[in-house]
Amino acid sequence: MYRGITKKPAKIAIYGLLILMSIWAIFPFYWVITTSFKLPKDALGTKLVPFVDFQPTLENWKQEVGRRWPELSKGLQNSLIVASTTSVLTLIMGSMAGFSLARYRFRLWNNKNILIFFLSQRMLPPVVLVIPFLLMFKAMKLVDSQLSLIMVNTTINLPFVVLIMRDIFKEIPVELDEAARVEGCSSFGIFYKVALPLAGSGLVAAGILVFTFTWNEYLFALCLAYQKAITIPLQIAGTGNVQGIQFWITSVRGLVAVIPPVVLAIFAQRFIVRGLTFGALKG
Amino acid sequence: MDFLFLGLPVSRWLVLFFGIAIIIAILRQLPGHTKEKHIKIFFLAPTIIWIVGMVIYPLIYALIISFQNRGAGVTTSFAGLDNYARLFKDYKFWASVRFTAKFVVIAVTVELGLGFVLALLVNRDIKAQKFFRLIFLLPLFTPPVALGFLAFTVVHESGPFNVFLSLFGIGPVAWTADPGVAPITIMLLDIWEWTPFCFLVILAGLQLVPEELEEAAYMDTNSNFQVFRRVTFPFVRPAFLTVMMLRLLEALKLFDVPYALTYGGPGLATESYSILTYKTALKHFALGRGAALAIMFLATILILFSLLFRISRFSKVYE
Repeated sequence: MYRGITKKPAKIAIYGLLILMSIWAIFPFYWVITTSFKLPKDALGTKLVPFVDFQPTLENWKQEVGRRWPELSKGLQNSLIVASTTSVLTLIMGSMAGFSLARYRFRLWNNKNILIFFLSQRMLPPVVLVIPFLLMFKAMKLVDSQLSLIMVNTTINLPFVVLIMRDIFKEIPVELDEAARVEGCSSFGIFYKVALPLAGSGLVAAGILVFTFTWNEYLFALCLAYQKAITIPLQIAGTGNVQGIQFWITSVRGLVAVIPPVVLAIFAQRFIVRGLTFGALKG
Repeated sequence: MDFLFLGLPVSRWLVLFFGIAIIIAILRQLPGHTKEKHIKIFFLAPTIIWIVGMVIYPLIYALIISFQNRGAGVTTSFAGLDNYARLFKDYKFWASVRFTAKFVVIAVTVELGLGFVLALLVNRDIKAQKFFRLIFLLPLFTPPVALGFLAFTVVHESGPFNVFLSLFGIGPVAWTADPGVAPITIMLLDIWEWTPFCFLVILAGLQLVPEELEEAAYMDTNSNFQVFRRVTFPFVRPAFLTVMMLRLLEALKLFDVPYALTYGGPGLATESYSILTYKTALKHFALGRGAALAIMFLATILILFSLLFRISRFSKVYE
């Protein structure tokens, strides 16, 4: 009954189910794409098919990507810088920490306790940090700067990277370490030349996940950045004006915002599911 | 903590200190500088220092603020447990707790349940796995803010969702304007975003179950349910528990979608705890009360999860 032996009708039913689920997952994207081509009067209402239900227009795109490009590009730039720097920073610090947790035994403070310490950071609701961060960054005169966003996002994503990298390093056999050491490799050399290359795929996955989370991060951007360091989610949210939220513009910006993470996802989707559950699936 | 010490605020000194400590820790990793037994500490040090500086210190700061009477135009003074006491009498606090609890329980249950059932059904030899996997990851990559804003056009009174429902004879529903329905809308959006992820993870977990065991068990008991209960589920349990924990944690932090779609809802219908904390601290500038809300949040989560840990560690040992 399970797997292998599947009869024709069951297979068709399952493909049908998968297709239904795909429609469920994709419909909002289709909707957003069509909305971005709609005139304001068509935005609210059920106009599904272009050219049939409504007259598509390039006006929205021309406005955002053409005339008002400097505005959008600032958000893109900021988001890009913040997300990639955060990615790099967390990967460096996190992989080092993950390596040490995977390979060495700590006597003063149990390995397990350190792990739980990091795990508990994930339980931290970001709101809790908003107030102290606001005051801290104000005192350091770092409000509305990319640096503050980088620092905040690194803090949020660091435990995540540590946990992922630890699980990945645990999978690398210790014999490789010992072989390298016999060849005269220092401990840091082992990390740099043996462990890291083997963990490459995990690093990529973690990096992409951190990049995406930072790219989509809204709460701290809302609190800490206004103008100079404005990020894309803020710009998506900022399409409201006196007449109400301009959904046609929102969808244009939303699409622009969604493209980089999706492109990254296409490159690394194999690793992402694994990365997100840090190794709980090992049999 | 805002006083000046030698011309710079104390906080800036601390940042300098931590920055230098981290740089030193990293530099000392260069080959030739370290003794073997010190290296494990130096690998871990940057991260620990960062967390202490950027998490522990702000938390203590927040704790102190929560005992103070801070706000715009109010001189900071010590207020003891006043902020906390006021919380429990505040109807907004209880409204947000109710909504957040309702949301977490219902949304996560549906996501896990739906994901599990779908994974079970799809767990056959399916080609084109990669294609479907990519499609199901897409909802995850959308910025929740965009989702919140754009959902308005979909659940709008004359939007496609209502049109779709009218095919079944269900009258137009005010998905965002009705305080009774708005929480359901938020839950539906969250379910849309996260069920595919639960589905993918549980499916991956299911595929690790050895087929021979399942078939042997089926031949013995001839009952799919028994096979599931005794063979399949114990293998899937770690993945399932992990996903459950992840979703619970993330769901508690809910902010983006209700903020974007309804800004707290008609009245307080969709005011999640995070939104309430945000509004108290940054819209009303009642920093003391905001900090108290935040600390309360943290304490509750820590207690809840240490309880959960006891239970799940049990089952992990059993397996």
